[in-house]
Amino acid sequence: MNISFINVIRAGRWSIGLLACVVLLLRTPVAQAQVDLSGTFGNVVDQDIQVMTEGPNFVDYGGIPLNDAARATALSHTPEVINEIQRQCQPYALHYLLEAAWGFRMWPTVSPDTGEIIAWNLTGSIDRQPTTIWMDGREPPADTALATPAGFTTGKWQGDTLVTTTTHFQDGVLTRNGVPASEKEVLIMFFTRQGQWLLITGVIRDPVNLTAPYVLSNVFRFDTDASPNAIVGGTNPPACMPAEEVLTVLNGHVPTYLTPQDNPNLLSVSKTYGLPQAAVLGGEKTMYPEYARQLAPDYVRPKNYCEHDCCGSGFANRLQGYNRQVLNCPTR
Amino acid sequence: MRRLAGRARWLSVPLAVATLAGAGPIQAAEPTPGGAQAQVPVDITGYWVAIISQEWRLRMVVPGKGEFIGIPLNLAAKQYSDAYDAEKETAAGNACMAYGAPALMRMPLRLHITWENANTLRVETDAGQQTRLLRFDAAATRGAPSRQGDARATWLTIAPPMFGGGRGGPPGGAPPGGGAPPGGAAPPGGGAPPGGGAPPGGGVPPGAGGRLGGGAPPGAGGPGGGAPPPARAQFGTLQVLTDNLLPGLLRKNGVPYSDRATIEEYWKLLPVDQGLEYLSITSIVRDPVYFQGKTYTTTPIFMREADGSKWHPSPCSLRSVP
Repeated sequence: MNISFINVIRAGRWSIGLLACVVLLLRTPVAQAQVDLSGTFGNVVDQDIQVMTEGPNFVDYGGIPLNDAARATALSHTPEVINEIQRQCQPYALHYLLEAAWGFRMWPTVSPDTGEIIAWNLTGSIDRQPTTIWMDGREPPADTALATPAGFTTGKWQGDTLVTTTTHFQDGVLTRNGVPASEKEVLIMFFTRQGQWLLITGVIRDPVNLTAPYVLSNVFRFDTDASPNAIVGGTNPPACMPAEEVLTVLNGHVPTYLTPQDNPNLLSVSKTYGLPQAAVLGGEKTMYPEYARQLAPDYVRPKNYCEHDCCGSGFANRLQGYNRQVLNCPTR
Repeated sequence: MRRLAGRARWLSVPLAVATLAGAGPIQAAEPTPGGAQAQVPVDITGYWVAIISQEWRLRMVVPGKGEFIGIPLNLAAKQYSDAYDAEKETAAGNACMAYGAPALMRMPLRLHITWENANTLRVETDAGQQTRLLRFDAAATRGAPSRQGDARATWLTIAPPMFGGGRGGPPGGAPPGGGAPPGGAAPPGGGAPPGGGAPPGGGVPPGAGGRLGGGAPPGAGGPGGGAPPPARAQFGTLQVLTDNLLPGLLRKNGVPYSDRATIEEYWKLLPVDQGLEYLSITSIVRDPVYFQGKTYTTTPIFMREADGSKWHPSPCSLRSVP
């Protein structure tokens, strides 16, 4: 084989390579661009701090687009449920990521052959299962496939934002005060990283319980010092270990309220804050600005209702540099 | 094996190019002829309604005096709030002091977003009838301190493949938003300010260089300067850095912010499906006067509306919501 023939072969290879370049460039969409989401993210816990820490008040559904059936179910809810030994460690669904104070760690699963990211993983917490976000284009399993609190999640990039879709949820709760969530729930989440901030917005649809999408957002901060499941600067809670600890749920007692009138918390929020009971019972109309205008003329705020834990940044006294004590606020 | 190695050599070229092309760096949009409007990656103009699904009570009615939950106030702020009198402020003509930029987007209201000109987005609210001007022109003249302050806007986009991707680090290396806070003021207590310091991966991200209107000035270009204008991106996040504010209220119960407060915002269009679109506005407020070395971070959500038929202008009020 003479040299000129070898050069021809080499030139041909480069031509093929160049052609392959062009073909690949033409088929590589912008939406495939990725941002590195790896890291440990602490929960900022400014917004909705009460919901994220001690939890929402019982019978407090303002801003939740629940339907009548869901409201009836929620009104039958009692906090004793969580004392049942079989429910003590029952995880919340993935949307709890946006309703809880926990942080998390996120890391990719990489194909050893191609280096391609085939999944993003989120750690769980004491009361939320870990999540895998499949990025390899796989289809969700059949409707009859296993349903779990974590559900089944796929993801795709829209520019700088990872958009995930989760299906295959178990029946559970939408909120910790007992608004139900069905197996038909679909959760779409948008993950956008801006420097040290990770912004997540979730859109929850549930045709069984909701009349409109329920939208939640949460902000996390990249924090190498944070424990993966902890609030910023906090520590990991221990794993959940069920134990019989409350006598009232023993001996076959089923913790529930058969009618709304049996619920001792039915009027507690409306009385405490001077709100109409219709507002407390929520529904789609309570999500919009016109409802504030409807409330305004008759609203009389009770005096001195804010007597404890209403001052300062709550859990944030564990965050960097924050000390609520200097405010000399009354606490419980 | 040698045959495979030989083929791998020429296959590696397109693979490397494709990898680079598919993962363009996040970058601040370059100033171009025609202004920011001509290069807008996503259209956020139109009517938007606030969805009040979080902190419902705090946002739908005026909370009681002393209700500071969620805000990292210091003692000076508490003292201000204790002395605050809504009636007195209203009588003094300060009814709009709760409608400044640090608090406005969190209220139950509607937005109407339009282009004021090629380099300025105009954001009007029905409640309080306020107007925020988000200026893309870094050289725009700063005015006197105001309720809405000076807001400098930058589109942060993923560079389209092989076009205009010459700035910034690799994906994940220097994402936007990690620079020093606008104004560069150190928070009380010293140390790295929240939001300051190098972001993961190091480096100062484009468009967040620790000053308002960060990013290269027109014509500067940086590495790759002189190249053709970048192709229009399909997705992006609008970064808005605001300062030069008059003091005001974060909540109508007297929670204050000072004239040294700054806001770092990320406006993100979230298309869901079937024409359903949300706009999330993550707001990171810093205040060296009234906060304790921490940021106040919230993300109000808006849903797109077809038209302005539900637009309901109302004057500022410190006594009620909205």
